[in-house]
Amino acid sequence: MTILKISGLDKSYGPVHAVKDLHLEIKKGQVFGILGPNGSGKTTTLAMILGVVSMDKGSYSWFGQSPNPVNQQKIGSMLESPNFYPYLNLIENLKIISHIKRIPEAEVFRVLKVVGLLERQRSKFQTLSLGMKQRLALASVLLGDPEVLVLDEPANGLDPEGIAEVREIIRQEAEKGKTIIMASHILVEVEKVCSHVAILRKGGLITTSEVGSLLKTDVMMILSSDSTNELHQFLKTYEGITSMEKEGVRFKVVLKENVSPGDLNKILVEKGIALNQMEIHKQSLEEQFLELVKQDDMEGGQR
Amino acid sequence: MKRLFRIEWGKTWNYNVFKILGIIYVISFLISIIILPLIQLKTNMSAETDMLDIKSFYTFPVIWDTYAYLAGKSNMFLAIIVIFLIGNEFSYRTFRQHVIDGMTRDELLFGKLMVIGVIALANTILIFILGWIFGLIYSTGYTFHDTISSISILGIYFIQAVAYMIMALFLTIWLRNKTLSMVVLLMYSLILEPIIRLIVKKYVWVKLGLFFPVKVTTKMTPIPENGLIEFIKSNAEINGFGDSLPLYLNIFLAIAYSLFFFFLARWIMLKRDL
Repeated sequence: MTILKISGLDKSYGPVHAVKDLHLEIKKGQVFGILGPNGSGKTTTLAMILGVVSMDKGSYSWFGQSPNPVNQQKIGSMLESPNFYPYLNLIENLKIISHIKRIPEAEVFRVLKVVGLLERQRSKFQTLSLGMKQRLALASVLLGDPEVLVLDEPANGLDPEGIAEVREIIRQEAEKGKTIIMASHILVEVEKVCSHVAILRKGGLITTSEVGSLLKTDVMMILSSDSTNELHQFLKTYEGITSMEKEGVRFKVVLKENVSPGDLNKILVEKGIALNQMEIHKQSLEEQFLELVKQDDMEGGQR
Repeated sequence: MKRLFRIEWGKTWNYNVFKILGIIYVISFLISIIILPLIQLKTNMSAETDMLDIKSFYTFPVIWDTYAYLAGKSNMFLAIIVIFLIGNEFSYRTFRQHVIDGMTRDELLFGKLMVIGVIALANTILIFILGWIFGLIYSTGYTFHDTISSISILGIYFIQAVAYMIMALFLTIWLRNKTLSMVVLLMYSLILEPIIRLIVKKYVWVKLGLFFPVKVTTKMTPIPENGLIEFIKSNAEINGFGDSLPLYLNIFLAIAYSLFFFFLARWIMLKRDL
């Protein structure tokens, strides 16, 4: 079941083209990461699909329907910084949201417990640390147990312990079968919790894919041998790799999708090239992201 | 309706600035109605007596006109409270968050309209209660008819207060900034509109100045029909501000301006990004 479908979304702020012809489809149960550097259009995209920023072109639908307040209440969202009344305490702030979402006030205490702020329930919002404010925002997202969570930089301002807690909460919600849409530039976090990812750059979509397949596509190996010249000659002609870089006596190669490190090793043994170093390095999302961005820059340059 | 009320109540009632401004407003009003009857105003109205007994404006039925007039003079204060309440929503970005949480933009606006209605109603009730208390203290030899004969001015005061606050609502939705909205409201009400009125009165049409929003609104609670009216009117005429439209036309125009400013605010709200 499609939860969110974005078709040709486009937005400009004066001369700045913030989002360019964006197409995305997010299915039920996916933990969907929207990645991109600052200014890539992540927040603008979320603001448009949450109805607070108008779009210049395109359309989007939630649950297969045009956006409407009833569907909006099935979505728990936080956008950019936490927005609460500084002079109200945590309970008072969350009670206002519970009225907006038409849910019982008792829910307030449940979500405060989930995010570990029950003890600070009577503290004014303005007295909280940035990390606590972020947790409160997460509590407001969880109010009413929504089907979809939209989180913009949920780990922002959190210490490592807080980041791990937020990650755990996201995992628990995902295990309940909820759809989670998460914009972030902390790639390690996205890699840890997301099932799918879209990478944005300068308002445009570079790629969208399952996190697993994005990471699987390229395996990098670091090789060295006493027969450096033979190894170099072989790698120059070998068709099973996409790239090769010589770093002193070591070679950094990226294997093609259909070639495994074992295949390469077997051929090298057959050729009589004995390796004294073979490191298999699966590219992290961060490396993959940087690679894609670099590639996009080069293609942009060629265009 | 109940949901909107609970939402607005939660954020307004717990707002200390609202409480402080409200208390200052009530205390100032109480002082004005308690102190004024105790003083004698020196006038040049009459050759026989050069002293005007202010206390006479605090007896039935004139007391209703007096209180509505005094309260009407304080509407700017109510408008500033409204600017604070709406301006906060922009500075805290809570309007934006409310839409994200599932409120419509119309609901945001109607919530604030409800607050305006409640403030105006509370004020009208306050005047009603104080009017009875002080009317009974200061009046002698009155009939029941005297006590209620001009009580309808309270209804007009209610419309006036709402009209003034809707003007503040429009300005704040438009400018999205508390300080700027307050400055613009004060500048427009106290400086800009009077100057424009003078110019149009002199160069366009002598009566045109009477149709401007602040003029229309302030003229809804006229100067109490007693000796005081003559006193103030004579001063006003010296200063060239004596004219006013018939009351029914002022009321009609105030309602029309309120609708205009409200729908303009709604148009801005629906059109703009949050």
